[in-house]
Amino acid sequence: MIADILTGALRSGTSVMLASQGELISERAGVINLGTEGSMLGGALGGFAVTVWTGNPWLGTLAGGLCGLLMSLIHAFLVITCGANQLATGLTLMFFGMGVTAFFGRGFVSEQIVGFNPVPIPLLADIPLLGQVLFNHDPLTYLSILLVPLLWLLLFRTRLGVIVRAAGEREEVLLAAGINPQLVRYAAVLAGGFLAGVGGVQLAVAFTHSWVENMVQGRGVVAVALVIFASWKPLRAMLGAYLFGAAQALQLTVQQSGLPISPFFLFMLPYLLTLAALYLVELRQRSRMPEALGRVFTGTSGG
Amino acid sequence: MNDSERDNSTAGREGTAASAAPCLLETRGLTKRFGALVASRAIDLQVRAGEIHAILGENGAGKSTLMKMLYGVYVPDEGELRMDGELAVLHPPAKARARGIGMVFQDFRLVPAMTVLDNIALSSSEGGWRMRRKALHRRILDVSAKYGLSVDPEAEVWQLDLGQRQRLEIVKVLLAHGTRIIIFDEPTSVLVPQEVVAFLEMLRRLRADGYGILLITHKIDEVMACADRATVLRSGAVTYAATREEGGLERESLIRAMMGDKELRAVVKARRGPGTEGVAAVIEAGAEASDVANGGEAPGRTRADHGSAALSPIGKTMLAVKGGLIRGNHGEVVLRELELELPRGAITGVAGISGNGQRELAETLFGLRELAGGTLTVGGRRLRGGVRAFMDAGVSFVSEDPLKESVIPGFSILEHMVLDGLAPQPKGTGIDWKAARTELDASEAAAALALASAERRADTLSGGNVQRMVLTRALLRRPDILIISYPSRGLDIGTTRTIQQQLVALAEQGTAVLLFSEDLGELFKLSDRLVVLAGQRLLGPYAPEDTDVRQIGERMLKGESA
Repeated sequence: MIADILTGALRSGTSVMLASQGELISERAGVINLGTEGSMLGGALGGFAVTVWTGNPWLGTLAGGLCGLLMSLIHAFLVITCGANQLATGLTLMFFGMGVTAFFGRGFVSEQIVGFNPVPIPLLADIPLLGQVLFNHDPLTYLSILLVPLLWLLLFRTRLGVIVRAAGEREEVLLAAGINPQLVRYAAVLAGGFLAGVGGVQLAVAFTHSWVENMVQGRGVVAVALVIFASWKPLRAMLGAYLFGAAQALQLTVQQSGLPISPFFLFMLPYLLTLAALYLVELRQRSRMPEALGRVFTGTSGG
Repeated sequence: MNDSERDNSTAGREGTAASAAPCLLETRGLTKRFGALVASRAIDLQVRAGEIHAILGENGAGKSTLMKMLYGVYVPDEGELRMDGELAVLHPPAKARARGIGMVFQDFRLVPAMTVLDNIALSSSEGGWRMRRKALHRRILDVSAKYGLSVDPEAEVWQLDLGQRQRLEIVKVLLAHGTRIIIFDEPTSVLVPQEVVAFLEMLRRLRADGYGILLITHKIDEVMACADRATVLRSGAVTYAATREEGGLERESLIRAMMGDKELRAVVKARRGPGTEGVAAVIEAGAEASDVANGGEAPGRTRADHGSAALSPIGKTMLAVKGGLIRGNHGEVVLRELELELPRGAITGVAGISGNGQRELAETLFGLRELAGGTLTVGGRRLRGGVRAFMDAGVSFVSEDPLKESVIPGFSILEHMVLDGLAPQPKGTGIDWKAARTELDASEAAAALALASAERRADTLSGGNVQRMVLTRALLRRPDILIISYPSRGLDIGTTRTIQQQLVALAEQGTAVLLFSEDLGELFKLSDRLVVLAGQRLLGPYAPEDTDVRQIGERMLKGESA
């Protein structure tokens, strides 16, 4: 049973993890995107639809990522170019995402796809327990695990990463270095939207193999919360996402075992656990938020 | 070390060599207008390799406009900029940088949450997106060793003090590709005296290595100590230009060129206390400029002849803190075992490197922050509670950043006064604005400080006028105790003088004043007693007569052991 929960942690945590890594990039550059939920929904539907049409889940992944990116483009335009409030815009986009995907998704509810399926890695998958938990997953999950160290390298060991982080701290410093902070923020928000979209694809095309209205069920919002509780660190955000995934798996396992617990209570368990984790982490640390996060930068002058 | 000795001993010859040196940057008839205001008027200027060129002028003389044209922030309206003899376009700053012009700003362009190395990587475009951390690490250490900058590449910027941040900015400029000219904007304003000496030493090394240096400053001692050439600006135009070689760098002519015919009343401070009744110390206009730097002519010395080495309280204690403990915003200890007494009729000056508890102490003494331990008494009675209790006890407060903390941008001066300061007379169900206006106009404080017209809105006021307004308001309440932070920060000499005179007059009328300042010259000039904030302690009080700028500077850096 433990193996099941741990395997499930990765399988159902991956979508949240991808979205949280994307949100992390965006927030490091100074933009909170609550529309991540909408991006995930867009990605899930787009990915599912293209997979249905072409039968190729990789094309579906690309399409889903682009759908997520388009959703975040709206956010980027309103927030960065028009100077709209980040939280209000993000919330609106979240509900817009729910509505628009429900509308276009009507025809896909009963569709069936092959999608991505677990590909056991030879030899490694035969290790007892560990093999089952780590090396028997769909390709998107493997890729997402590779993404985390790559993202860390990018953010903390390259000049590009320095630039992204500076955009989230002091735009005027970037400006002084001859770099346009608005452009950096656009890029970061779009990258975040793309990853959230791919997270949605993983959910629809690899994990559930189906499209259901509003299937993301707050995972996008959880991803945003995770970034904060991970103090804007990729590795911690990954752990948080898997914790959320484990809670999901636990809930499913308990439901299947037929214990007399209300399914509605179980349904709120993952969110409850995430809240508790947030509380515990905040007790221990005063997390250092990127200084310019949520601030709208309009200045164009300066040296 | 050898470099510097040679440098010092050949300061005279240096000038000769410098005029022969190639001219890196030249301006002819450079003019910049903002609307009707001419910020720079037909400025001719030369920057040569291996030369320190000082740009002197009061606030508002047009120094920064000129620098911003040279660094490419502004496009000049008229005149030409030449580099190596050829016409050059320097706007935007990226172009100026590409042509080898670097600038060390007063307000640093740094990201506090990142490391020194990251900050430097941000500004150096070498290597494209890649970042050769190891190579960069080594280059930072090399450069900082060469010029005695001691910058640690892995330190995070928020941990650095202002002096260290400035050295980081300098390393940044030096590591930028092809830097030949470095513009320093009021570099010593963030430094303590010892650091100033090291800074000037570093400037000489840069000069020896052939950099062209523009030093923007209003401190004449620094110019005297290191410049090869000086240009004085007043009201946007050049009023004086000379080189050391010609013997043109002398204090008197520089001051005259800076001030023009503007007459400055010297601040007269009567010394009270046993034995020195009525002795007045007059600080000449010239002493103003000898503020800090080099310590050789510490203003404190000008009063050495008043005798009275003993530190004697001038009146009874108005406010006292015993065994005080003050915590910062994150619960950390900022000051411990705090013993402070503010005697009646005396100005107590607080020296210290910024960030050593000045803000927290000031806030505690006005009830904005709670004393975490110990007792605070006003007039012998223990005082507790918030700001209202402190105001009722006769405490007034002028905050460090009045623009942010004491000003409502859309309100007029009169409205500010009625909000706090003037007691409004009721008229019907409202306020008798006319009476308030009359009272304000009649008040001595407003007249003495030349307060702007009462209906002016606060957001239309200059920094100096805001400071006058805030101070007028504090004075209107006729406080027994005045806590005042950085009254002259960013103000020109004229306004500074006016405010200083008011403080002295206030103390003479019996108010206990606690004066925070980062300008040691000002502290020595005004204070009857000096205390120093360093390493979570409040040291002192010291009598200004018994100590000098150098000793106080030592204590600011190292605490009591010095």
